[in-house]
Amino acid sequence: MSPPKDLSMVKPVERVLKSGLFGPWDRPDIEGLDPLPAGINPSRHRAWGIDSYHFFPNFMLLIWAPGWYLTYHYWPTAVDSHIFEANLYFVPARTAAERLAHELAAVTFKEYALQDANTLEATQTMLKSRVVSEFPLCDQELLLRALHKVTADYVKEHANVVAG
Amino acid sequence: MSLPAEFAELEPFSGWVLATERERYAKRLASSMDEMQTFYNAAFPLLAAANKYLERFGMDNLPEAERNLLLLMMSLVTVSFPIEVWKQARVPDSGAAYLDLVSEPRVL
Repeated sequence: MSPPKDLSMVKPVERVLKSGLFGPWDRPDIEGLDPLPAGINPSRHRAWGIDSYHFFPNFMLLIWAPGWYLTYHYWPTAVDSHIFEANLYFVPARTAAERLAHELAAVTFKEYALQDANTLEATQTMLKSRVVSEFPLCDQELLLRALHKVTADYVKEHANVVAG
Repeated sequence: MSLPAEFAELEPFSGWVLATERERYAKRLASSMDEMQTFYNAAFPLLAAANKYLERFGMDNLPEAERNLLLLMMSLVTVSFPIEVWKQARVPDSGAAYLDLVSEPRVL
């Protein structure tokens, strides 16, 4: 949650600048954040923090509770490598202090992204080995399941066309 | 390299006044933990005061000394992960992955 319930859970610089992975803790003073559009946090959960949307095939949009958003693009370059592109969008800083809070959010994003990248490397290395042929996904991995379902549909459709 | 008078004691660390994230991150990777710890020990106690000071300045036509202070504190943010969390300059367990900033924010 932002701001965090337990300040001991965030690092010292975050406590001073009131910003971090979830973005600046204070929402920017713009229209449209309260209430949020109906499609964001549709259940109106009080502890809502982020909505994550996937647009087939390679675009993602992540909207954070404190009033900013991220986009991801995934660009496969081979079966075992890819370029990951991320953009962070904030309401333009009015003061130099707001700009510093943005920097902390962006720097923190990079630290977490590099940690997460390691799991992608491990996954791609494993897939390339072909040792594992089945990959279980849980019910909650909706976006990933949809990605593979639609991809399989595309491949099947193409195969049908080729087969005539 | 001038800083606002209230923060003049940080002038020995003016090498951390760098205009882009790419330069700040490169300096982090090129620095020893001792060098970053020395910078952190000097700058972190002034971060709250610097943040409050910078609240008074808009981003349009930011004066040079205040811009330098902002950039210096951005470097403090960059080294805060090695100092406060990782105990090393590189993000641990990040394998061969790298992430470069190719487009700086329009503001600054």
